[in-house]
Amino acid sequence: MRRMLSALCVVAAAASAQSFEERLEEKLKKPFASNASWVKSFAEAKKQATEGSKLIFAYFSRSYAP
Amino acid sequence: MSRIEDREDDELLYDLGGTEHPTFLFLDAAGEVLGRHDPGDTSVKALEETGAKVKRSLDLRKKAEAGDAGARVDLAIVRCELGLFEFSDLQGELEGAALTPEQERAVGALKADATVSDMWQVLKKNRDEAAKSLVAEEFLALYAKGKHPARRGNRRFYWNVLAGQGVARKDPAILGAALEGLRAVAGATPSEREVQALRELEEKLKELAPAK
Repeated sequence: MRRMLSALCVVAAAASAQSFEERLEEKLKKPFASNASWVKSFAEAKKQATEGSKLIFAYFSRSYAP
Repeated sequence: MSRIEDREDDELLYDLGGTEHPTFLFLDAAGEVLGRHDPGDTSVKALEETGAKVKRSLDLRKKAEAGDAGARVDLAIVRCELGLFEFSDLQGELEGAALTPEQERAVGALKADATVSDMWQVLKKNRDEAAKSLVAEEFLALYAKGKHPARRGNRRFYWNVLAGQGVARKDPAILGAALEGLRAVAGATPSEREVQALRELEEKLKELAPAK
């Protein structure tokens, strides 16, 4: 699957003791996420997908959601 | 709730028709949504299966555009499985089409998911005995036909209701099937709560059908 996909990750933020970046890092350690090179810009994901003839896999989350 | 102002793509999820978190989407390079993955199962295997289904939909689209009527039906079914439209819209797409047995099975599974989702909405509005009876009746009807939902969240709800029915009716067949269904939903790494719930159901099943 990795070969066919560019990965886009967009995570909304919420106020919390743990930093936004720390929560994002935890999410991206999950098995489904850990092997991807994530980008946080839709424009960049589309550019990479076009150049690589790939599809885009997008993951939307919140800092307090899975 | 805080929000990071002026951050790029903050509205993207809503622009793409999503509302919940997490949401997993497959898109083409132009940004068209090709499929939505059931967020209830984030295993690599499940995501790969959705990815494979998306690829299949692209192949079917080419065949359907070339005039292949069978591919047009398969494409409608796969697109519904990928969450791109509702079951009621699929029924419209398939009107008048002669379905193969495999297509009938796929449509049956989608109908089961649509029914379970509808019943979830029923219980969200009202949890009185009449609503619970309606839900139980609908799920027993699906169970009797062997038409079970495929989406993980629906499966959990469905098998939990049937487990309750198995206990209430003292029916070991229904309870046994529900227990198997819930074990499958829990997967290889069940939570403590799931382990406890499964154990309780196993005890109840032993009471109903003692080992010989």
